[in-house]
Amino acid sequence: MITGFFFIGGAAATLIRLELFSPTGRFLTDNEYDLVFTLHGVIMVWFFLVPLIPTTLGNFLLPMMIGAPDVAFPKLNLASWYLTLTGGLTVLAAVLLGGVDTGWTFYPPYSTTFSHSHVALAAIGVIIAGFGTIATGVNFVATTHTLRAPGMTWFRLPLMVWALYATSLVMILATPVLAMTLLLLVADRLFGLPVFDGFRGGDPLLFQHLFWFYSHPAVYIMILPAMGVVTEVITCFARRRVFGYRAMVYAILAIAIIGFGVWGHHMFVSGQSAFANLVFSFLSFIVAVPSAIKVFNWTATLYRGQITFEAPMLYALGFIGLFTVGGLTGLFLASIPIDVQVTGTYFVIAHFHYVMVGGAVSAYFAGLHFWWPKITGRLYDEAWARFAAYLMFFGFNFTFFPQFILGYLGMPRRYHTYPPEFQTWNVMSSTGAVVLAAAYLMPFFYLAWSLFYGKVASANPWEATGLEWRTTSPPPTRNFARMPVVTEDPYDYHDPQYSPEPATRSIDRMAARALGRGASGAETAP
Amino acid sequence: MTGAALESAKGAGLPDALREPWSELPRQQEAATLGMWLFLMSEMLFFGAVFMAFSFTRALDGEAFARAARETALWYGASNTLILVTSSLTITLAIRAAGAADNTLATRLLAVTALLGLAFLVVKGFEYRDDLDHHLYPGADFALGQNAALIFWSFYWIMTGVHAIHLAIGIGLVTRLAWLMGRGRLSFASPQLEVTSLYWHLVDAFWVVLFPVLYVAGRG
Amino acid sequence: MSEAGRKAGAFHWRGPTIAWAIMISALVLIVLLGLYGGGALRFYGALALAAVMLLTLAFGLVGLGRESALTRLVGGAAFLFIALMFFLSFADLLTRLR
Repeated sequence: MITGFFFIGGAAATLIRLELFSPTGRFLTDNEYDLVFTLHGVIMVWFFLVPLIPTTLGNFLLPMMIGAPDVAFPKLNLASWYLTLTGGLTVLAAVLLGGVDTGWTFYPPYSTTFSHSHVALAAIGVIIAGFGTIATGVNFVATTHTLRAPGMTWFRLPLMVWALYATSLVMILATPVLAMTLLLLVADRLFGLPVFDGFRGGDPLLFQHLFWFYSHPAVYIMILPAMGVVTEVITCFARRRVFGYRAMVYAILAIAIIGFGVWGHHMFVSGQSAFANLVFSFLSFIVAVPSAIKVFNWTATLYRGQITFEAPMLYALGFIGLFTVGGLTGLFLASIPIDVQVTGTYFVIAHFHYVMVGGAVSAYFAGLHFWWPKITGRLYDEAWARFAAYLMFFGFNFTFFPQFILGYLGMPRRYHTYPPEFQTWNVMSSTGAVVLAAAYLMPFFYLAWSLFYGKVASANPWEATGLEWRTTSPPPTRNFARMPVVTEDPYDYHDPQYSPEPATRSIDRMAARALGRGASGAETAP
Repeated sequence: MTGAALESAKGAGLPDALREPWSELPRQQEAATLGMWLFLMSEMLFFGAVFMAFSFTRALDGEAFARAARETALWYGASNTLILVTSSLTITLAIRAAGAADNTLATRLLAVTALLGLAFLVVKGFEYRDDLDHHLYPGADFALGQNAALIFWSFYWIMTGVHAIHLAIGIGLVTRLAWLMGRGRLSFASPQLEVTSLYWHLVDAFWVVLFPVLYVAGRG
Repeated sequence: MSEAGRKAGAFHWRGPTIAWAIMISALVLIVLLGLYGGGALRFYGALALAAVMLLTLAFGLVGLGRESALTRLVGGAAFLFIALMFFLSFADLLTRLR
């Protein structure tokens, strides 16, 4: 389902980049372009990025990583899938009926009073999907609290679990506000209510406050699980314990909590008061600190590691670079003088694509490849995977780096016509998009191929730590043949005193393991 | 719940309340309660958002809000508060009765709870009719003019409407419990009792805040 | 431990009934404020009584005092974030230039 939505959102992106090859409209009218970028935003935010890692990897991994047979509420899990699907189909219905042209942010008064598009239907679809998100959040939190295996204390949890836990808390707290906000918006639109109508005593900024109260934490919903994946992958392919485990935990929680207080940085030029601008700018600088701590700790984890460059590692390393660029440009945007210049331009677009696509999607691919053997029982072709990873990194930068320049030079977002002097950068960006699209399509082929012809995977082909690697690939219905008992810390790749052993995955290493030295626990019989 | 109590529950022919993926009933109950509290947390944010929107708009034009608030029907609201608070009492007593193994009393109290909930909706229905008669609904012929007073009444309809929907769902859940317990098909070890009562108390909690805020505080 | 997890025992009705009585008393006061109060007394009084009713409901009927610290945290956490929502939104509203 997520893949399906990715294709739809990706198709919209393709239309956008094709349209932007030329400074004047090529094949879309002004309003059609509005429909396309709205579709791209709505689908990609709510039906791709928000559910991406939690529902695809999280559902599968969370119970295993804590040593549980399933999530706490299996039927609720199924319900959340149906809710997301129903929401998505409702939005698609709105698209087929003629689309929405307000942008994914649905700002009034255009969305309430002036737009002739299917705002209400799309908003209702998003509300329904939101309930699915809340259900997932409730499930994951309850699971983590009550289904941990014996010996799996909180500070022995893999950071992926902590990341999913924090994400779930954000889902539970933020999403209902979106539901109410969109409900008020739909009511305004359908019944002519003046809640957001400035001419009749309401305030359009109220919508923005409520909307961004959800939508900023929403981006942390997208990035936190990605950060969890990155820790799992980097520790494995550097054969290192994570640097500063507790700091990483506190950083995850800090991002989740402080992330609720920064939403006004989306509103610096909206008419918000100068005092509020100051407060939000300050808090936005603060929220960067825990993210930076995580980047430092990943880097420190690599130090003196025995690093190998399998595909998951390539994606994870790419994440670190791209997320850092995206995060730093976020700091530029948090600085009000800079934001006044570049808000509403391609600079912002480049920033959030760096963190969301360069970050979250890269991490997703890292996780997909890392756990592919566990999920499917097959190994993918490493050569193709590495090639796709390099291609993605190259294509991504080629697509989005020019957009920083375009934004700085003043090209506004959501416009499909632009001054001719911007064309070079736009063509560069669109060409990069072609490469990026190819890089995204490649995994479909070699991963699908591996399902039929790939080598059969063992329980632990990467020699990783973590409970999920102690069961078969793929795991049995109740995840483990016998409930595991946890006795060691996470990322037990080496004795804390010493540097790690090289992972040659050779006969020597297997022999070393058999003699009782080395990282992973014994494989259980199916 | 102890093993002995579980055994006696099973011996009494009551259904096994244990579900997948749990291996022990206390854990399952703990998880069910936690799950419901987490859901309650999300609901609090849901209503918190509309309270924030209400307060924000009130700060924009307090005078218009006061004019609008004076048109609310204090006695309907007060009666409904009495009804709903009493229903929270009856559902709490129902749980206590079930815990004391008095399933007959528990069933009756659950039924009373559901009936009180229905009574609330009936009273609300009469109040809505009055509001409609007085042209206190959004539209061109709103009684107090196209200004912030209309926003107050927009919030009134949305907040009480969403609350009523939540209450209706609650009535359904409680009725189902009363029916199951009456048929002897609900074990007092089942988490459903606790979880449903939490939801019911939440619906009451919203009203307990909504009534003073909408009907009293803003009258000016 | 949850309510339903208790061993079968006596029927404890007094606690909830007292809580109910407190809530009804608060309701009476709120109605009186609505009928005869005015200005700031009515506004802050009504909100304060709402808080009293809410806390009585939480601790007297829901039994939040008997629940685990985690449950209290979950119940209370929502208020923290609601407060944040109020605080920062009003930080904008109240400091706008007229």
